[in-house]
Amino acid sequence: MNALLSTPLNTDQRTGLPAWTYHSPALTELEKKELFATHWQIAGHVADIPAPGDFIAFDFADERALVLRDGEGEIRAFHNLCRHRGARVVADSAGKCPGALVCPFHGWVYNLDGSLRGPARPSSFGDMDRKSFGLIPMELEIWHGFLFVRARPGPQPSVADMFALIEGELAPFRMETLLPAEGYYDGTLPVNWKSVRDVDNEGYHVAMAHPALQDLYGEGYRDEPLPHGVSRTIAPYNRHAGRRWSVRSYRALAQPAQHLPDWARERWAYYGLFPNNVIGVTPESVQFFQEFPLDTRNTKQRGRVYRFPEESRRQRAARYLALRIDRETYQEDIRLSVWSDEAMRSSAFPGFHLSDHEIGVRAHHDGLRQALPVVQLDENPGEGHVAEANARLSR
Amino acid sequence: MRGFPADSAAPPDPALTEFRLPAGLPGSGRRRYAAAMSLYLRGAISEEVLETYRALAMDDRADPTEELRRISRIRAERVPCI
Repeated sequence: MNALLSTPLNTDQRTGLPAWTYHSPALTELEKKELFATHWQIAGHVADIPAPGDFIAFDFADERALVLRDGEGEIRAFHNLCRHRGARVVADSAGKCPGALVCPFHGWVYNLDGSLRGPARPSSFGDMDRKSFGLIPMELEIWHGFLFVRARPGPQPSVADMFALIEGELAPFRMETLLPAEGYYDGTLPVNWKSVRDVDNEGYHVAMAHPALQDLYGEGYRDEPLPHGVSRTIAPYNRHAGRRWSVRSYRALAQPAQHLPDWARERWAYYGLFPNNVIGVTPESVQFFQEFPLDTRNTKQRGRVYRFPEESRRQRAARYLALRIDRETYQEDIRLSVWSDEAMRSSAFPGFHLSDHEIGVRAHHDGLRQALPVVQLDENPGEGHVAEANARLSR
Repeated sequence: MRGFPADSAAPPDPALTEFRLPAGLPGSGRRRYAAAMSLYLRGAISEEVLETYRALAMDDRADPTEELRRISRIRAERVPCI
């Protein structure tokens, strides 16, 4: 375990990452390999794959994950790679494969436990040891119903260890009992992934940029970096929330969530996991969202909203209104991400100068400086030397 | 194609059930082929029959038994008269 990740990060530094780190293809490749492939990623929730043969699949950085429920009900994770020629054994992002997985390229057949049932035209492979050609397992951890995968071993401890500090405050939500409320959302933004996270990691902009959120919880919003790259944002409702129709209607419809303790009944909260995962919790729903670099200038966003199993019509309507506020906020954030990303390409912008209210951004950048020391350099060491410089600085 | 044991009171064989899925069900082509692979490994069908199921795996509406009959008919017609 990386010792530095076990303690709260030093956030004395007010400057953000240098501009070159937002438009260097070589750094993006390094981020894919040394950050995204080696850090836990939320794949979904156990409720997404309730029956044998159900699967979810998603790509992150250059990796492809497949999480499925086998014939015995056990959840397993694999790299979505046929052992023959590397094709996707499932082509869709979610679905059901009753009994077996059939590679759509040549027709190799895999059992739901990942073992190879048989290759297409078996005799053309001579004396093949089928046991050596099962799907390649991917590390999987299930935490309160959420499925986390990791493509390669990395510096983070188990998900349960990282979230241990907030275990108590999330336990009342009984997240393992959640049910999907909406389909997965999946979009692409024309910015570097860090420009998305920079906006999401602070609430300093809420008063100016998000009228609905400001109305709902702007007064008490606070970000808090925790050990292990975990962050917590607590946003209790304003005492006089309701200037705007959506907020007023939400507050009027929302009933005290009987399944939650008093302190959790009137607030939204967000729990981040370095470098790119967030679990958002409201009295009516829980959602996860995350972003991955497609390339230096394009970012994939992915997530899903879940509801609690017992839900009255009023709670359902309140959840709908909360989602409406959330979607409005998301649209407002896109513009901010684009502007921030553009600034990093400008010849004039000297870089971020961050407030105490932007401690989440500062902690995230500190985490990146720690994970990829090359980003500490003010200037790009040269596109052909980024990986080498990072290796040198890591020693 | 080699014969299958007659149905009895024994619990249904999942591979046979899948192998006999009727044409037309969504995803049935791949399911029939995956089951055919199990039967091939048991020695219950030949690789040639397995290959017929593979060729029809992506066509849920196709009936592999019909295709096997068609192939047999063509072969019979090609047998030279003695």
